[in-house]
Amino acid sequence: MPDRIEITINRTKVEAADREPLIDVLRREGIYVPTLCHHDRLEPYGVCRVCMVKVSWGKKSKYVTSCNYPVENGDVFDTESEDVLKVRNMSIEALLGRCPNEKSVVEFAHRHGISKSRFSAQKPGGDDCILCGLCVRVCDEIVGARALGFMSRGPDREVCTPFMENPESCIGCGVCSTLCPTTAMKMEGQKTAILKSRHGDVRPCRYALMGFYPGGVCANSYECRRCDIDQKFRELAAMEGCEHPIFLAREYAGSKKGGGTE
Amino acid sequence: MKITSPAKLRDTRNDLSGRQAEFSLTVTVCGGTGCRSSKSLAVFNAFNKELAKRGLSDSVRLIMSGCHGLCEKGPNVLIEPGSIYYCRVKPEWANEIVESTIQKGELIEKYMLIGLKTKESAGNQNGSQVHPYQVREILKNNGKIDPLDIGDYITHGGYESLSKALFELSPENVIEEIKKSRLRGRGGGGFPTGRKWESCRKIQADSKWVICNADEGDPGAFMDRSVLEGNPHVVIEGMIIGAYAVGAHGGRVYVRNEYPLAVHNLTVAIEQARKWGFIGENILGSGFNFDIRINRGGGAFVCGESTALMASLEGKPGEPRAKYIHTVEHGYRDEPTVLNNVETWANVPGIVLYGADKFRELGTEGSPGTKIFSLVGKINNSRLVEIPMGTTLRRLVEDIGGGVPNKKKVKAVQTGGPSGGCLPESLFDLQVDFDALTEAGSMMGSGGIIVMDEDTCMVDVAHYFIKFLVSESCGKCTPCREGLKEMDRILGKITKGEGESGDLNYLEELGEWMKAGSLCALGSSAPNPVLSTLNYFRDEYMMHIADNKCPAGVCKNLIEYHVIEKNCTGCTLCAKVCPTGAASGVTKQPHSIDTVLCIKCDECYKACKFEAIGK
Ligand SMILES: Cc1cc2nc3c(=O)[nH]c(=O)nc-3n(C[C@H](O)[C@H](O)[C@H](O)COP(=O)(O)O)c2cc1C
Ligand code: SF4
Ligand code: SF4
Ligand code: FES
Repeated sequence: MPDRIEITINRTKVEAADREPLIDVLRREGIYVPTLCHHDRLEPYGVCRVCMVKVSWGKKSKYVTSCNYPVENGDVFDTESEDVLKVRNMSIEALLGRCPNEKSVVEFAHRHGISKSRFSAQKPGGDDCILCGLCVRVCDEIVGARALGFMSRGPDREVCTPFMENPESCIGCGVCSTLCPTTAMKMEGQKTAILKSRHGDVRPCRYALMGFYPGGVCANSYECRRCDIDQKFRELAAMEGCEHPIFLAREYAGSKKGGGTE
Repeated sequence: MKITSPAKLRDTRNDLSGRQAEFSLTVTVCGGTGCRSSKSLAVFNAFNKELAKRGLSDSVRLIMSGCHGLCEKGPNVLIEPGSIYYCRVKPEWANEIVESTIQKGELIEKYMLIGLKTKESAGNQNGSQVHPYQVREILKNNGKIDPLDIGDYITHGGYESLSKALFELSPENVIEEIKKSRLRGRGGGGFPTGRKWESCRKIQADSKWVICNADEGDPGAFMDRSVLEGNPHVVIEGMIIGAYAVGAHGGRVYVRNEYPLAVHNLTVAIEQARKWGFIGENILGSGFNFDIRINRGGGAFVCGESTALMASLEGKPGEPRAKYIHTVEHGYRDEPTVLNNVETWANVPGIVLYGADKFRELGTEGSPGTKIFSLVGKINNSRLVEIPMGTTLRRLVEDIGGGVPNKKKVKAVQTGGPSGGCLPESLFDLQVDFDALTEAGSMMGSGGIIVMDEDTCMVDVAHYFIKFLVSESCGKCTPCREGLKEMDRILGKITKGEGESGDLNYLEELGEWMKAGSLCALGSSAPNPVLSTLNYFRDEYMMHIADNKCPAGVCKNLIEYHVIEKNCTGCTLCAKVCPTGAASGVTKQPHSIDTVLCIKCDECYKACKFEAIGK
């Protein structure tokens, strides 16, 4: 049992476990802080910076990301003052400027009171991807396939899809597009193409590749949306509170982590 | 041959010194990267041949050393005793130098260091003639010893400090001494080294690591390279002592691939140290085990950041991660790790051997010791310097650097590498140390200093550094990636004469956000070039925006070349160099420039001897 500690959030004293991620405490206490790159089942990444809050100890203070900040006894947090909102909102404004025409990003920004951005987009017409890395990380940490990666640096950074990166290892599960908060990750078309091209007449079902029933073969020309098996596993996953069957597959396999990671 | 006890170390040293005493003179040819590129190897060979020809090979010792810090004047040759220093030496001179100086003891003045335009280049008490005002603690053996010969290092007192640490001090004693010395990390952050070591010591773990950061990604900086090339053993010795103090048995040196000579000299040094029993099992018979391996970095600037460096060492992409979980606890391979800079490690043997009090005699209260800087830019003597912390910028620029060339006025210095800040001439009495620089809106960084003269446009300078940083940002976190891109865009607008009134406030807003919100120190320090120039040179920005003028005459869109008639003698030079025929006129009559034809190539401005071209 981890030690209990006491921290202060917006002038209220709160109990927490030593070194527990701040975001867990905030959620428990019903204090809203936005997140974009965070996912409960993945290692914290801390890159979108929309979850920033201020922590102080006496006169000293700094801004930290709540998704990966481990709380310590005596920490005093401010999640709502004007200063904090300014830092957070600037990150949202930056992402809106990057993706001015992406529906989910525009909506997210609106919800946080930001309708215009001074930032210019790197790509003409704007980008779809906010570089949260959820797709890359889920493919590595949960699926274990490592079919996705990043390429280039700075403003040119982008996700490379299985076509460019590692098509051999992609199992076509599509969890990347499920987790993608935007419309950037479009796996549906690609995944069937990958499976069809790679396996000739073997045609494995992707639920087989996910580990639910090894050896299973697709009889439906990869029209998963019309397939009973797909339907069944999706329902099952939803019942267990999983966004995607792959999480269930990994839980069955007895570990939260995917097979491919060390 | 293994040295298995402190007594044996002393015997070996006496033995080696005895053998060196048989030489009456030592000729040291600089073999640093700079001098090598000006063909110092040929000079070395010429001396070798000349000495052999005259039968002097047994009485005159000839060595090739690491960088002397005067790369611009190379190839450099030092003759001891007497500290005779010859610069820009040509192989053909070997004959004359050996005959006059070595055999007859005569100085050849025309080859001596007369190019150094220092006010009092001779007989200064703070340093030798070659290095006035400098205090060379770290670099003292650079240029004296042969980096490929461990025996040379040992004769100069090498590994005595390690022997003292292993046999006379407990790990806690060593940490106590480092803490007392108040040594601060020379890699840029200035974190107290003793405190870092202590946190690592306290953690219980089977395996711990010490790592040397030799990534040196700042363009133009070559402090760490020079230390590694010239005196690799001092870094190795520091690392062994550090490992003993924190309880580590594995060491790594992360060195940039673009440093082949440093890698070579270090590799040889590690092999020799292993052969002589300073690293490996049961070091000096103490029972302590430690070994070092070299890893070559890919050369990305961000790979110098501690967490990115460790990721890169593990074979992962060199990207930073959040440091809320400290690397002293979970570092390389998720194990406790102490990472220090080359120069930090190089300070350790001296502190342990001579004591913290001695170390603190130099430097300031908050930043004791010396610091190596690379002084470059618009300055007469570009060089590597080592000065006590707290030396003023004025002393650095005017006395050591010899001021700005071509009778121009000095305008500012940029310190701290690409993400450092620009400080105006009015602040030149600032005493350089970690805290003073940070307070002034710049930083120590790894010690790069770029001098700028009145022809420098500060908006253009800020833009230059931001462009570098945009290309070096890893792009992982929003503020650094999007903020730098935005700064690049706005500064581009201003230098093109398209700036708007809200731009400066927007730049400041971006800067504050990046400082507060970035994941690693690359992003949080990246606004420095912009914020510091906005702070000290706001007028210059304003002139670009409000008057469409670049007062320094740099931003092409904002200048118009014209002839200043009262200065023009009608010498026709401008008309001759102008590639488009824009500059024209009749001999001995004031010329003129047709702005329609002018492509702003600056040729006339550079050619005119009468300051008659304005822009
Ligand atoms: C972008 C960036 C680049 C860095 N590059 C270097 C470097 O080239 N060499 C270095 O020693 N430290 C570098 N650092 C600092 C290291 O992160 C780290 O603080 C240092 O190596 C610790 O050693 P010290 O305490 O001895 O200074 C860099 C930091 C950042 C943020
Ligand atoms: S594609 Fe989607 S999930 Fe992947 S990094 Fe971009 S926004 Fe995030
Ligand atoms: S601050 Fe820049 S370099 Fe550091 S993690 Fe963020 S994007 Fe990468
Ligand atoms: S949710 Fe914390 S940085 Fe993205």
